[in-house]
Amino acid sequence: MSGDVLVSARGLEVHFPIGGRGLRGKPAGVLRAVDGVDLDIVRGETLGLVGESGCGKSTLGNALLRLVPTTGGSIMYDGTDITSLDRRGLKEMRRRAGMVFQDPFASLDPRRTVAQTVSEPLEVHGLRKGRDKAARVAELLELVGLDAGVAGRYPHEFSGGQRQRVGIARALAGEPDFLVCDEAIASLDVSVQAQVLNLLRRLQRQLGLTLLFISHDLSAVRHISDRIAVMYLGRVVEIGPAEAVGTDPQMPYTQALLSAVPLPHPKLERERKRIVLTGDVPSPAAVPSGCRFRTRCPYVFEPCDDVDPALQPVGAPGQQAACHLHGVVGTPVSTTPDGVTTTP
Amino acid sequence: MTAGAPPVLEVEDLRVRLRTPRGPADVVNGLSYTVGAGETVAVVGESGSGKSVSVLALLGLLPARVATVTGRAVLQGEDLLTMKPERLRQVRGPGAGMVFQDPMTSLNPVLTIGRQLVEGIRAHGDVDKAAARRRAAELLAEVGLPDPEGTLDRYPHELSGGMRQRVIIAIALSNSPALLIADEATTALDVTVQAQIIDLVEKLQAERGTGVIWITHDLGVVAGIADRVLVMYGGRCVEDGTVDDVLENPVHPYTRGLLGALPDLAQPAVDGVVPDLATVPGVPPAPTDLPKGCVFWPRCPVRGDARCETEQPPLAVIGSADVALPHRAATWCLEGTSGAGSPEGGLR
Amino acid sequence: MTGQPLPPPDAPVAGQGDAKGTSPGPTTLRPVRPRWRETLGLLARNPTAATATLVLIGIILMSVFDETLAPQGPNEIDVADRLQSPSWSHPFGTDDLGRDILSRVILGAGVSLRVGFLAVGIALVIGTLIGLLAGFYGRWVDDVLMRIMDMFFAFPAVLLAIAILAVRGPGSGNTALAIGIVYIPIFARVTRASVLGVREEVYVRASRSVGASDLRLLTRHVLPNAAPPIIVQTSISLAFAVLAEAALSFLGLGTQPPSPSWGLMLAEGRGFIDLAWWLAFFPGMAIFLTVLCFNLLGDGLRDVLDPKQRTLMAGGGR
Ligand SMILES: Nc1ncnc2c1ncn2[C@@H]1O[C@H](COP(=O)(O)OP(=O)(O)OP(=O)(O)O)[C@@H](O)[C@H]1O
Ligand SMILES: Nc1ncnc2c1ncn2[C@@H]1O[C@H](COP(=O)(O)OP(=O)(O)OP(=O)(O)O)[C@@H](O)[C@H]1O
Ligand code: SF4
Ligand code: SF4
Ligand SMILES: [Mg+2]
Ligand SMILES: [Mg+2]
Repeated sequence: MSGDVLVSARGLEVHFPIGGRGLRGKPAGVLRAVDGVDLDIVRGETLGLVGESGCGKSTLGNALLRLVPTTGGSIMYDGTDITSLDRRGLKEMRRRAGMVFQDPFASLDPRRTVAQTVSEPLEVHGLRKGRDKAARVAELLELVGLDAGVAGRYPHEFSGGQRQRVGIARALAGEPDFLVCDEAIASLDVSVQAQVLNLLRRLQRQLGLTLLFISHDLSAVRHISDRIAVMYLGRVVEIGPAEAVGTDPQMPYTQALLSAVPLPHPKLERERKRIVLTGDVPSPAAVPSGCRFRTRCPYVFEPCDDVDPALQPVGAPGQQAACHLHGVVGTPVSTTPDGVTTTP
Repeated sequence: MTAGAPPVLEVEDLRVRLRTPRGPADVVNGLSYTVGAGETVAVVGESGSGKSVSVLALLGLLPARVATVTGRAVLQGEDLLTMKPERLRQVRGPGAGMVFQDPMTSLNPVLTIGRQLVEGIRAHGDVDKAAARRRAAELLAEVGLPDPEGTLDRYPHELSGGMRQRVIIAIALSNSPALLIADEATTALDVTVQAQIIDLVEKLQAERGTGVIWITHDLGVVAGIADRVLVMYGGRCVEDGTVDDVLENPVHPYTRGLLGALPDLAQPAVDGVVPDLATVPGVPPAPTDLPKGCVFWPRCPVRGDARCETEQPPLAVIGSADVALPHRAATWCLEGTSGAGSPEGGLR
Repeated sequence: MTGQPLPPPDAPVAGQGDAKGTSPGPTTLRPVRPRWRETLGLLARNPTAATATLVLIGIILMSVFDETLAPQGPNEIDVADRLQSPSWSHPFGTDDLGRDILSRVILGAGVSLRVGFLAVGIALVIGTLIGLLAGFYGRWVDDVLMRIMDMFFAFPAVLLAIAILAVRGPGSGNTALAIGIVYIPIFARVTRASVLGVREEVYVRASRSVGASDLRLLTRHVLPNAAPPIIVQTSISLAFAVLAEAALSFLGLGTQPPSPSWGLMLAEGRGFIDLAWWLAFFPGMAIFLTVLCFNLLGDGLRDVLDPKQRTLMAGGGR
């Protein structure tokens, strides 16, 4: 990996308390949505983040912007640890990092006009006032390919793709250098997806943005990303250049994931060999000991039960995977009580 | 599809007109198709082309105050469109289950998942609470949710997007419907879970002969599950046929544009730079203001006929008409449809 | 790049749908209508609600110009004209002291409505604030505030009002206060329930993600979106408040004679119901009409403010 690191997470944990709510009196437990993530995002790159539904992608993206409270680990943003920021610092950090949400129908306040939505960051941070503000809104709308004349409209008057553009304009208003796109194209039309993907790529080049692109659409992720990180049950299990991860995955889960991508060609699709995962789908409230993929892994072998694999370099330059098939590296479970395993 | 067996659903000339302040909107304009027992019909098309409205209309879920629905839609011998509201309520669920497009709004944010599922199960079956709860947990396990028991006691916002989506699928499957309508059902899911859901639906189809209408914009999914594909644009079917015909040999300029806009897993990088994706320029027509001629005309890159601008092309059979599912398209320009020489024609 | 001006956008490539090609088509380029005007427009298309609104406006205007409209003063006694049945000179008849009932009904509107508005105003402001905080912050804030509300709710409403009036003494101001306090928990609950739904909306998180403070979230996003049920509740509570004022005055605890409140007139007319039905009938009708109209307006608003209905009728949505 080269270039300077903009966002860096070490041992990041987001655990949610579960049970014990109200009068039900269930034994309290924790849900390990993000459980020991080490991740470096290089300035100016697009990092794709993929993984099973519920594996913690959104939670990780939210945690990087401090939108959910973290319960452990650190996040360095451009040299400062943002897990211990005060209110002022947090506010400034949120100006410098933006988020585009999955559902363009839910992420815009239906009672506020496009101008009000897009100018919110400007008002919150006192960036522009009066006529300047209106000019900036117009500039932003044009930047995302909308007519500046739409500023006075309400969200319900727009199509999904147009709304998503408004969402992107809002995220860009504070002139951030980091943008988290959480399933930003999932609810859009194919032809509109293409437009938004092109737009994101253009903006990235033009503004030198750093992007975290969360998606389950592997084709789109491959199209837009420089590197891809694969998450499984709260942990990054493989990371590397998009090309390498996309064509030569080193971790069994990544292999299964890629094999499940449906192809839009009926003949190829019928011949596609999907690696069907069997075995229990573990819950983030009860993470298996050792390798967290072992309940479903077709290659599971002896050390997998009690040694939690760490990311290690394998395959192409810059590629890393957490799997004992490439040599047993990691923390034996016995060293940590209560099954909380941390990667050194 | 089993030949000879009566179809599960027969839709004939379905039209939906919505009353809007901007005047009447013709959202669905003469849609006809059948869904055979165990058959999967995939509906693809531009956002706003009337896919969701056309299926909502079938189940009587459009408010009568604003929507005028005409045509015929026969589900297992009964016309859904003339059915009494009470009967329709009975039919929803065991007769026709639906997965709605909008996962956040189809779950009540202040009720636990368990309550919402149990409600659905008990509404149509004579089961006690405990049994319904057991059934609910089973269903959640079937759609691949970890810790189904625990999930029952949680609220929608505590679940990830994909988990919520699976809860909705579980609700739709809870009554083993004869017809399953899935509106972007797996859009929020990752591919492994998606594959699992598709397996589940295919199992239901094999066991119960469930007919499926699968609305999606994921053409990969279409290629995998569909027997038949219906491409919608501007409230009309602009192309239909077997999945091979439509995806491998698209004829209508819109279908071709759609296929051309897909990012490909095996994309070629030119000098290390991945080229931008092709897009279909322009915006779809407003249903209050459909073009007089071909609905796709304002955006069509071909427009190779004098009639394009003035006359709506009918759905015409392409190639052989003597097959179970003829390949049809609504365009005046059928020449050069073999895909040769047209840059966006077909897929490699 | 922080602080640098943004470079101009790429020129849109002709034939490529990326940039300008997707700006809204001609149909969406219509003049913008503000939300409230849209709401009024939709309301106007609901005949029942529209009629109710017109009647209410009429009643309010009547209470504003009561002095001019009333043919006589409310307490002009004319012993010679006692207990006259409705006639041209006294369309609603006269009471046992010879006071013109029409004049008293007109002048009573002000008293009844003032108490109603004041009571609901108190409940609306305090109840909404409590519900907003409880719903938004949840946890112990919610527990504490809502338990207090439950305690209020546990008392029978009339009893609570009577107790308050017993402490503070009768009179229309105190009546409004008593009714207001009784209604606080209703508004708190309605608001809280609505806020609970809105709180989890993605746009609230989105706004937080750009650095918005809690105060901003509450005032700009949560409250406006949680408002529809509160507005409906306001309308319905107004109806109940007018009724409650009548009931309390009827019991002798509300407005004190000789002020002409409708409830009081009803109470006073009760003794003459066999002899002179008009004494109770006309104030009763006034109460009935006002309450009915507020309720109908509430129902109408419920339909109009429902976001699903709105997108459908406003032709938006997807
Ligand atoms: N507020 C919360 N309270 C409790 N649990 C939560 C909360 N938010 C998320 N979770 C749990 O954390 C886990 C990870 O959720 P997350 O939304 O990050 O998944 P995801 O990878 O984004 O999945 P998807 O692809 O389906 O969106 C899930 O098990 C989810 O149930
Ligand atoms: N509630 C509504 N009120 C008014 N118009 C509506 C409403 N719902 C849909 N429409 C209009 O009907 C048309 C068809 O909408 P529909 O939801 O069926 O599209 P769709 O094909 O399902 O699109 P998508 O892929 O975005 O889900 C659109 O033009 C839309 O604007
Ligand atoms: S460590 Fe073992 S269980 Fe985990 S992925 Fe590798 S082989 Fe499979
Ligand atoms: S009829 Fe004409 S305008 Fe319509 S799709 Fe065919 S070529 Fe294009
Ligand atoms: Mg997510
Ligand atoms: Mg739809």
